[in-house]
Amino acid sequence: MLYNILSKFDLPSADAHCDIPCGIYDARIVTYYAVSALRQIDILLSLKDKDLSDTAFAMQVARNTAKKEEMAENCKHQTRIIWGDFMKPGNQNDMAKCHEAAHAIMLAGSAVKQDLHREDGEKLVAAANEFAEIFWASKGVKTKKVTTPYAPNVEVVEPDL
Amino acid sequence: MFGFKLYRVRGQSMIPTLLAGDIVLLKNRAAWCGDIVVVNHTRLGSIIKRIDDSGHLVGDGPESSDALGPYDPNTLIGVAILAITPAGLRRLSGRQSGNRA
Repeated sequence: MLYNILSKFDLPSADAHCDIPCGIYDARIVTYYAVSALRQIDILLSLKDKDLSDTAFAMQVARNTAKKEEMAENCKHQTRIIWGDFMKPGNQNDMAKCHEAAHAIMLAGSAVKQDLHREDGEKLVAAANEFAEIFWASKGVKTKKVTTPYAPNVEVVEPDL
Repeated sequence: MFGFKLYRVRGQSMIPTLLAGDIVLLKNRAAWCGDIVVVNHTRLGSIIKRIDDSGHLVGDGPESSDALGPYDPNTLIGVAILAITPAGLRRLSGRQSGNRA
């Protein structure tokens, strides 16, 4: 309650940014990790078709599952940094869309960590692309969609520099 | 007012102690090692950090580094004694190592 009251006041701020505030924010890192997570899903889904020994199969599942969860968490983490430190009212056009896209990344990222469905990975990439569109629009930078020149060969939003 | 100030935390280097958006109540008193302080850093402006046992300014989060250098009492804006968060109030007591910074 006290927090809600004080939040209405224009208080001075104290930076607890990474220890050297650099002002470098780039949504490409969000899409990068989203695509990486999708790639790990594809690798995991393809393992059953490979002629692997039980031991090799178990090892590969363990490694790629760990990496899948790491990539999804990195995607969520980098989104939080941009959302929390860069996206502010007045700093871009549509906070409601920004919140929606960031939340979609949180949900899809968690789904990718929890289970093994390609559509969850696709949702994560789509949400990351939406977030990237909003981010670059806030900087007045045009975007383009390009297909990654590596598996899983999906469309990602890039700044048109 | 009355030796107290309010500041809003911006950024994530004080996680898990403080989250971005939290408000801290600062008291105008000398700082000790372990205290969370807001200082007017010569290069970076108003920053909130903890004074570690060696008297350096550090973040609580995993992205912390020691690049901020030693704490300079002349830059002190205030010692954070209370966190005012959406979840309620929390006292910030420092690590109480007992060394005057």
